[in-house]
Amino acid sequence: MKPYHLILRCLVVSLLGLCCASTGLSQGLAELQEEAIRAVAAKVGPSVVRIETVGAVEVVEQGGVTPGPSTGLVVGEDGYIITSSFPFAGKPAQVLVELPGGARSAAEVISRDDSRQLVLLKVDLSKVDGVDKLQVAEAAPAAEVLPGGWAIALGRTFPGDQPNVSVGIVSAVNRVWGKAVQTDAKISPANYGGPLVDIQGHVIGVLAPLSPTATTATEGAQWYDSGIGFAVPLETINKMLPLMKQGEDLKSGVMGITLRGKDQFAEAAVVGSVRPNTPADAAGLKAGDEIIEINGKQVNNQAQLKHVVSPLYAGDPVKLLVKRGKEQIEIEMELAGELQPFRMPFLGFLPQRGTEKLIARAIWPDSPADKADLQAGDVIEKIGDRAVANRTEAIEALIANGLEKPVQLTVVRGEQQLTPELTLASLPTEILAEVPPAPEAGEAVGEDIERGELELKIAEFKNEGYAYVPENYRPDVPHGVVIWLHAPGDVDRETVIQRWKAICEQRHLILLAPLAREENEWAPDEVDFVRRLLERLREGYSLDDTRIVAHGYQGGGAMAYLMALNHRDAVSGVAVVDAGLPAEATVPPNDPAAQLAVWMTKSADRLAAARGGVMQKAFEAENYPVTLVDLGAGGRYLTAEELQELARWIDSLDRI
Amino acid sequence: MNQLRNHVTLCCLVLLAGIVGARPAIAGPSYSEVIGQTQPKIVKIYGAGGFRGLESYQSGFLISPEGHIVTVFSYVLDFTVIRVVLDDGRGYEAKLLGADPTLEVAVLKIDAEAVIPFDLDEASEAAPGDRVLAFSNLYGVATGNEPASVQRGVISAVTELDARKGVYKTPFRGNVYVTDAITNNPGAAGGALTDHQGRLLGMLGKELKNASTSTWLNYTVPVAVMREAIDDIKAGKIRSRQDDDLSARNPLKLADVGLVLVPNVVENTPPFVDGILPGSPAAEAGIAPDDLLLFIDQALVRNWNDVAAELRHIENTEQIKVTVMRGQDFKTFTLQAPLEKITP
Repeated sequence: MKPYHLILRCLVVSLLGLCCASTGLSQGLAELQEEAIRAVAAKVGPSVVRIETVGAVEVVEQGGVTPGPSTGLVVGEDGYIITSSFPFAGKPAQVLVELPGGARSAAEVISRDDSRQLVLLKVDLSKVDGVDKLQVAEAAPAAEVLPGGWAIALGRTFPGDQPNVSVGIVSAVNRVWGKAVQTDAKISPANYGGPLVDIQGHVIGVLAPLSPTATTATEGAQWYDSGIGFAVPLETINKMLPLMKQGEDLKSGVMGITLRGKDQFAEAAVVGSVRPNTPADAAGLKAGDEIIEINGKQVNNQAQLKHVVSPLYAGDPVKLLVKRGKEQIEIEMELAGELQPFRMPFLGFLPQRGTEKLIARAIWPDSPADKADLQAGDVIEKIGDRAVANRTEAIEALIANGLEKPVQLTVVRGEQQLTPELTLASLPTEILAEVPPAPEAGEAVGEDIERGELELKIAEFKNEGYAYVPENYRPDVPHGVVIWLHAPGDVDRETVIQRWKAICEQRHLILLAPLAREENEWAPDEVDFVRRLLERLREGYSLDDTRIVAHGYQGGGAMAYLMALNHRDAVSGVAVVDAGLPAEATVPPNDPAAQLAVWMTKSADRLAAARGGVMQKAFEAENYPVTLVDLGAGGRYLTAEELQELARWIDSLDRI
Repeated sequence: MNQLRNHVTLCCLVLLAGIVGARPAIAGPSYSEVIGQTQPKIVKIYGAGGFRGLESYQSGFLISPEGHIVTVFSYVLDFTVIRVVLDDGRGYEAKLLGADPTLEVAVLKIDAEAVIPFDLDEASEAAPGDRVLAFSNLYGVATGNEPASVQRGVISAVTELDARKGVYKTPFRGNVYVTDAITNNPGAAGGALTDHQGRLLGMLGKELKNASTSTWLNYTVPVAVMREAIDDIKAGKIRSRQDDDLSARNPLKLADVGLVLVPNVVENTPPFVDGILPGSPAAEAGIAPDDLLLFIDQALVRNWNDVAAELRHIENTEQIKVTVMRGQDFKTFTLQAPLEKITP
């Protein structure tokens, strides 16, 4: 029976009921709704399957939600099932599907949609007794999905033959950068992967733990049952299905550019750098171009650009209108899925801080700059034909030039102008034996600034924290930050401040020490507190974004990794003593817009040695510069000498 | 997370207040009338004192004109003085008549007159998708003569709480209603779930986490499940129903049937067969190394620990059905430990 017939019938029945029964119209409405909801569950239920994963690694996400049994939606009568990638984060050994009616079968992972956190499974129906084809649900046309409309979420995670039901409305469309429909039905691991259905029994979309800021498959799960949940429109999925069935993984489309500035809602979309061998490079986009239109839509800020680009897949065409000087130029390109792995090119000098020009503070031994005989005090005016006055511009120019390619510099030394040609190298991983103290620039200013030991607290968090600002802090010199994440139970403040005090003064650093809620244990979600504390510090002090280092020992080290990987826009280095990568963290490819340098220890301890090897490989595979320090026997924090070495590493992170 | 949940609940309450306040222009008894008729049946329960950090309040509902109250069996009832406050502000000292620890249901009695109770004989049943109302004093927001709070939702599922595998940490086993109204809040346990006409469906359960997903579960114990226990307690019959012992007296070991699994070295080790003892039932049946153990009888074993948990309930004299995966195929074998190996 078609559902609207049923609904119509319900309407008639309840209207009849109204005439003779004492229950009023509103009760009739409630019954009508119940009937309609049951009709929807009955109509779509046969397309909703249960998914079990066997032998998955335990992945405890922020908020502590772990995948148990999950749900999937039939999208091909020959055995294709789409589901959320939520239960696949732990890389299960085997996937089982329980079809409506109870028949069980192994399922094969055919492909993934990394852009929308979905997985396509296939069940071999020839091996399932008594089932020759599956029932495919009908998609709701996007134009009919409107805020306020009924939204019924179905899952199949509880024992029993009926799907579990949660009822709400469509809260919004085009959410999560244009990729999802939002609902207030209760969305949780009980129905991730299942369908969100309208009152006619048409599938609006497939439920997935998305979030606008998430970068992993499970991060959005912290919002479970909160009145905010997301579904990827089934229309979009159906459009991409032929490709996915061929086993092709879907990736978000990228152009290969970085944008200037950090405030995506306020700043115009001005291209910072264009990476070589990318669609943007091939199409002739250049640093300094302002994107004012994309695919016919006006772009006033970076967020608007992101809204248009984010839902696009690799292979999708885009048409840009850019402003270059006084000209307006049309540029067309086809988006790429994966860029060539990014490796930051290196020139080989440390810049002076807080200056108007790009002046070399020291030259890195054996670097391209050293080989070209650059000297401390040289002013670098141009890289290639690009004028550079600060570190950001220099980095953009280096990225655009590319690794292992020659480039000509324009350098001023006293009265002389030099134009050495050199070939850019990879970032170094060895630590400089000596880093000269950074020269103080100008007069001491900022008398009313608080220095020394500070207590820090954020209203919504139970955690506490403190900071040490060196007595020689001056606001005209941006300071780096050492975020010290203590080992569980080790919260002796005196020792920590004594350890870092002299280093902070010598190397323009501020020590920031968040404390765990429970002294003996860090919880993964406490990285949010660490981030907020860093932002609090930023409000009062001038920070050097190139030298913000998450540093931790043991359990605090795992937190340092989490902080560095989950807040890449805020952290430029991670330095970890005796800790592994927590299960919650994955190492994404190095990103020119959010670069990270890694410093880690190894020791003779068998476990630590094995772990160190794995970690080093994990980061190096994604092209991060990894500095490995041998602690010998291990089982301890750093000696004074090793600490000095770490301090030099931090002090040289603004290398160019 | 919890904070967010609280916000959401508060929003729901505010929303509901809005709905109740601004009656739609529809004639006849409506939600607000149903709610108005039901609220006097809900009581607020307080344990005098209270442990540090634990809420010493919960909800309950009247089930007889004589003042019998059904509520959840919890530490709040451990206090020597239990206070019950009705929706109109009348306060009573309650007597604990008895409890069923397995169902986690308790019956209290107050000496009150002119109370409005639910009639257990008129209790109803519901199915997934049905609209429900949840009445409770969540977060203890209602005090004195304030009536209980109401939340709206639907039945998500009617399902069994499978305590056996430790998925849910509760002694309760049996069918429950799972709702999409967030009833899993401090103080809400013991409240009433009704259908949209105000007919009683069950008692709101305690705060409970689903251990397999680490998510909170919003569940209600149906009247039908509790009815016998409630009647027995009211009638003064002593209920000392013990937790049925599910463990086997002589649990089966996999070695008894000749199966050796890979060692349990990592969290969630997949239960792959490592070896087969020669001449054993497993060898005769044709189970092979590298088969992945998937089901023992009807129970899915997702990892090594699941296997161990499942075996605890199987006597070594019982036949077991083992389903393994070999490549992409399922194969099922029936195995029985040889009698001579069984040592009681």
